[in-house]
Amino acid sequence: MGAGLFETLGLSNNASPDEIRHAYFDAARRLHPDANPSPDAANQFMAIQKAYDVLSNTEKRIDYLISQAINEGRPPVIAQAQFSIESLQAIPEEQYIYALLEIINTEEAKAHVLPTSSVCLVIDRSTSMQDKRIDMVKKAAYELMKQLRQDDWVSIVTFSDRAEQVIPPTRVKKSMLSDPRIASIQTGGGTEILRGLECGLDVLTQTSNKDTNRHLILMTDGHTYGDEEECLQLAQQAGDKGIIISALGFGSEWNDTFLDRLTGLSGGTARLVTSVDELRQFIRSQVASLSKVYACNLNLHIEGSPQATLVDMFRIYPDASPLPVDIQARLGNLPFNDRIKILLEYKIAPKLNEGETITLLQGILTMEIPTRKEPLNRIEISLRRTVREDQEKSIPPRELVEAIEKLTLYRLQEKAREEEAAGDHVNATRHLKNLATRLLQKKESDNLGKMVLSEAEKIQSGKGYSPEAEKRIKYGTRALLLPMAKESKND
Amino acid sequence: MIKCPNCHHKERNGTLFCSECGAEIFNVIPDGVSEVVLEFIETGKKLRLKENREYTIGRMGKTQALIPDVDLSQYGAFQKGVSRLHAIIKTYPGKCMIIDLDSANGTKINGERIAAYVDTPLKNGDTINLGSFKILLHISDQHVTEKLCPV
Repeated sequence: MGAGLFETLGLSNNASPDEIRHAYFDAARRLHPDANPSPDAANQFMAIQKAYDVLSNTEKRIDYLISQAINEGRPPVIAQAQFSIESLQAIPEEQYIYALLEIINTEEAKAHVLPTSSVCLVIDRSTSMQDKRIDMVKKAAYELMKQLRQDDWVSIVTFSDRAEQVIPPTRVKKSMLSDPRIASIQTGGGTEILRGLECGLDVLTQTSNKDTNRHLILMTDGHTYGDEEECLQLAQQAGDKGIIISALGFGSEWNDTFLDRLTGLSGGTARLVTSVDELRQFIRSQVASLSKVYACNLNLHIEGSPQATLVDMFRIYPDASPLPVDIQARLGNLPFNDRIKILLEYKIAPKLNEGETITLLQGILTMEIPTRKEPLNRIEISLRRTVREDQEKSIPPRELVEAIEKLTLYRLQEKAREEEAAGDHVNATRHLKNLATRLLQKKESDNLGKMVLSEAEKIQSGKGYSPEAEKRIKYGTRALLLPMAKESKND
Repeated sequence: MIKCPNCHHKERNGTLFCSECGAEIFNVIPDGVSEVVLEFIETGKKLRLKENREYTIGRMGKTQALIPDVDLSQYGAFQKGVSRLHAIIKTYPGKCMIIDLDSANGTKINGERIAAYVDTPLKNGDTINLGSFKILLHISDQHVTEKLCPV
């Protein structure tokens, strides 16, 4: 592949499809043999044709960028972005811009390079978990044994007011499919998440190995009191070590805001569990993605920009999770031949000047790649937009529009919850009704819409949310962000 | 600032969906002069719809929280099999779309049943059946001078 296809068109490596098209047509007009008889122009014309052929096709462009990365000694991971508008407006007021950032790897998984996994289940065995919930958890534990491969590590910790190792780190064996230690887990006591986390992380650290992906799955149904800050610190430390924490909440009593933060700090995700099938599905998908990890501990270090404020950040693939807006974002693992998608929302300062270039993100993405010897596995990510007076009316990319549409619904739900919590039934009702109207328009969200509608009625009559529905709506609208078995191709 | 055509909430430039009602606001076309009018065939009643809006059509129930924008309950909607939230009509300058919300008795355009949750384009002179409730659609470029009841 020739050097610098982007340079041929006078573009930087992160040029958007629209910019590529414009640059090509501008150059083509200038260099076309009919318009420009010089032999030099003819050669250049050929060069831009070739560049456009590669760059205008998503797959070819990704392949080209990956091959370029390899040639330059960088890891074969690339970042590319789509924006809600091609250029920023030169207006006296503030404006918003959205970017959909994708981190892509195209390498096919090979059996001999796949890492081993070490998964620790941290199970809340407080009194409220008795009967149905603890039964579900046990089924999940057996499912985990079934899904993990022979070389993988597994461990189980239970906690109430204190924690104990039910199964210390062990290589998975067939016999564990009916391990009596799981069946004999008893409920009783309170919920001190810090105890469970400490013990689980300690256990995972014992299996510390460069080629092992470590994952902690917390299952709880209750609030933890007074130890939240310490838990968050632990999660941060876990993230630093490359240990991902995911959380599964049962029923309506658990603190979803807290678990969202806790998991967000380490690159994991939090979910509401409503059925055994859902729980099994979660275990299966987690183990499946762990088993084909290419790079782990992805960490995006974000440098601020005076004119662009990062308002919100949401991972929308492979799972839907809000990411804490901070100077770094833990993005989790990047599997072989797969991608991570992040939605970024920026508020841009008023009074921009025509022609000025605004940096949205100047970041460095670091990662650990077990199969690569080079110590410096990092790529630079820079998202920039130019300011233009005369805006061409362009339609934003479909994938981005769909993601923002769903994010808007999720936020309507958040707004209603906050209002209801503050006793503002009127606005909570209105927002839920608006949300229901949107959800009822699509078949895939029809049932969720009906639930939202019935909650709106309850709130209107002052009865408040029914238990669990509040969380079902939250995680239900959030799940809409996931591209449903849809191919992630664009263009 | 941009104004949401559906609920008139103001949003910052660059916003793609209204934060209040969830409506799409990046593709807003300015109001033109065309008109969309629904004529309820049995009563001859006419209803004018504004452009760039979405109207939910149905009938109000006693205990229902969501009131449809176009409430047909006073026109015998219950007896004619109109669902509470039966369909949505979206209006654009000079054209409109209908979406059936998986209503119990379905929606027909000129006698043909349409699929639920799919945007189906409408044209001037179409007959819309919500259950057995009949509506004649007028889309025109001129102002209609007849007396219309307000939405």
